Amino acid sequence: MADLPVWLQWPTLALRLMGPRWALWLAISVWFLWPLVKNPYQIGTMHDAAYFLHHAEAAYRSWHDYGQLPVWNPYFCGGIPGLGNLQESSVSPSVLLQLLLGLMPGITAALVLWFAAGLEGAWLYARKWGATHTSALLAAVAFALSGRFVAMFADGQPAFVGFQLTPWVLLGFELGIRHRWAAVGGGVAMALIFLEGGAVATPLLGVLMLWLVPVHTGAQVLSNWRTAHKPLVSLVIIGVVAVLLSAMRILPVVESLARWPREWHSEGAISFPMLWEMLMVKSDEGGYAGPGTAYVGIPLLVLGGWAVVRRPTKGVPLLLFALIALALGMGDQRPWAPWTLTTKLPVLKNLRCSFRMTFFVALFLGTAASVALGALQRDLRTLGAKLLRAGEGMDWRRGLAWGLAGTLATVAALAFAQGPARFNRSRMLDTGWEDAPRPAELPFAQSLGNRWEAQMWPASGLGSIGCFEEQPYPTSPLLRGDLAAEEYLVEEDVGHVLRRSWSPHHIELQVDLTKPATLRVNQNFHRGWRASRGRVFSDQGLLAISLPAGHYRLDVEHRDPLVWLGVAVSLATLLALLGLGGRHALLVSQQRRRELDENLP
Amino acid sequence: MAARIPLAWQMASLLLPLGVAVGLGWRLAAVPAPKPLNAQTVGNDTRFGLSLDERKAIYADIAGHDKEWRELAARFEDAWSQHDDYHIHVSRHIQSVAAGRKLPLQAVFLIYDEGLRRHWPDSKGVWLEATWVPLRPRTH
Repeated sequence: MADLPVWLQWPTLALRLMGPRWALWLAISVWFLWPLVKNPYQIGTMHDAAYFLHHAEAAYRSWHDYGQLPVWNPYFCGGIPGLGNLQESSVSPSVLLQLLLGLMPGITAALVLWFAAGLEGAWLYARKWGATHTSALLAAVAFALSGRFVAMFADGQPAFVGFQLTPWVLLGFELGIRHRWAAVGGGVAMALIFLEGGAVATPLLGVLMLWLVPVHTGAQVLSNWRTAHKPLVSLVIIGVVAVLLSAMRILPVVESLARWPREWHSEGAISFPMLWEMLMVKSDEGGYAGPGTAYVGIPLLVLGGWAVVRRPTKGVPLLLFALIALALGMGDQRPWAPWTLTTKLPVLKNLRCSFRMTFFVALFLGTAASVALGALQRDLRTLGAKLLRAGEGMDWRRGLAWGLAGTLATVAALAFAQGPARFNRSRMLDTGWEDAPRPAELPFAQSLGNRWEAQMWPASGLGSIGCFEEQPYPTSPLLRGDLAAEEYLVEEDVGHVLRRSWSPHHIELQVDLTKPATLRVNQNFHRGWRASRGRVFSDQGLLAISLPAGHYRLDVEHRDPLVWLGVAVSLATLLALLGLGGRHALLVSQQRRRELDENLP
Repeated sequence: MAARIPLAWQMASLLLPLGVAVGLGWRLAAVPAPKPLNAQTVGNDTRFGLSLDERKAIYADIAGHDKEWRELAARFEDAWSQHDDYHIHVSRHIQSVAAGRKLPLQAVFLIYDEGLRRHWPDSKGVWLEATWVPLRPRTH
């Protein structure tokens, strides 16, 4: 068959061009996130929103106000690791937008981009599974605007936006079975998820892929048993690239988890009817795992089911993937349940909230539905060509049939997608919002604070001793929220200490002592603290320095060699990927050119 | 099989989303940011437009519930959870004070902080400790 002329490809042309497609994704994302685009200076009313905004503010202050990598967070619990906190997103590339636009507008701009990336990823994933350009629209909207992405606002957990890169990681994993560079791409996507604060998204996606490996291995065995190892290799490449690229976070996080393991966990099973109601029932009930909180809708399921009938080689695996995600989502149902077995692994014993596997169910169902719709579109093309008595070649009749089928598929994709999208957006609009705190510049001091409105304190330039973390970071009982000076001498009448400057990682003091004395700094001790004079030690968990007598300047600095080792590894990996990736792309393009030259008459 | 779209077209088409993204950034940056909160004490010990006595009264109102909230928090066995529960009540009460007096929530929190810091007495003449027990979060 001759190539279809570009002018006959309406409406697929718009989707085949990256530009209009990304413009569409951006427009859809803006529409969906409208409450935040309209006024970015708002946060959700749930407690977790306060927690995450607090951490974003603390990191922003470190970056923006002091030009420092936020290794240490002095604004919470009297000082805790910043980069070493699994839930932080302080070195995610999205921080660049905060630095460019300001904290709150930057957060919203990043959210829009994450959603657009999710739409594009799901579209590409559906295309990979055989959906047409137009029918893949359905997968894009069904996944990226699925109910769980609203729940992250309702529950105040914006870090879950990392789930939007799920299809990119899965694409890397599946294509990586044949092309290792695709797995490298999947690893880059996984690193981005982790850097965005992927305490939940990273392990859940990792667990899903672990369970998908046997399925892909089985498929490889059936086609060529010699390639049976390739799915596992692809997964390993993704893991290695993700670890190396995010080493600046992974190293301090691993150290922090080893010293203060996450204790927060919840065992439990989610019944199938509960998951069904989350995914299939339109309900305003809300709740953490309530009905409608992962809504995709029954029409999508029915259409996805049609893929099994019409394109079983695509539909069956996709629905199998969805069933695996669903089975994992049911949690600790039985001793042999996938989730129970998974949480037997030492690193994953703290996994909780299995119902979040519904993020993946939405992707697989949406993709299956797109494949079914694509099959219908192809049937319509054939039928149209027959009815119009098109010739064998690509004449205007066949072009018209293709164009009409494409238009109908677009309309159908939008018709199927608009139901869940509109319902989920209505939940987004109903999410409770409150004003974000206003900046208030006070000299840094610890306050008693209050973790239930944690965002108030770094915005005001103060630390909050009152806090909650899922890791039991060591905090000193000597911390106080009512000190006249944050740096003070334990002994009386031996001299005085005056603060000259303060930043999260560097405090400059003027010391005047007639006798050796002990200086206390109203922050927690950490092995990263150093002093230009004297000896740093932990005084009941508080940062303390035994000082010699004299009149001198004292610099108290927080430096963590582990972080800088990680930064070096991350940068080296990035440079290596750019260099090797560029070389690979060049070789591929040269090979293509040679093939073209050889085929010329 | 559809004809391959030339790379130049693809690249040129990217100007469209780039324009949308720049427009979005422009729009977000143009939303007026809330004015910074002036948390400094000015003039005759005035802060947030409130005199010292007014701020003390707000603090006393909050601190006056101390005993009641500690009794409520005693339902928890561990000290960290008791502190944490106590602070839920503080937070809720501060929200109601801010709404009732039409003050920014942040300002009322900072007035509470000022009271703790300056050891203002509550209605019974007692000042509250500004300390927390070490972090021992609940595991469930």
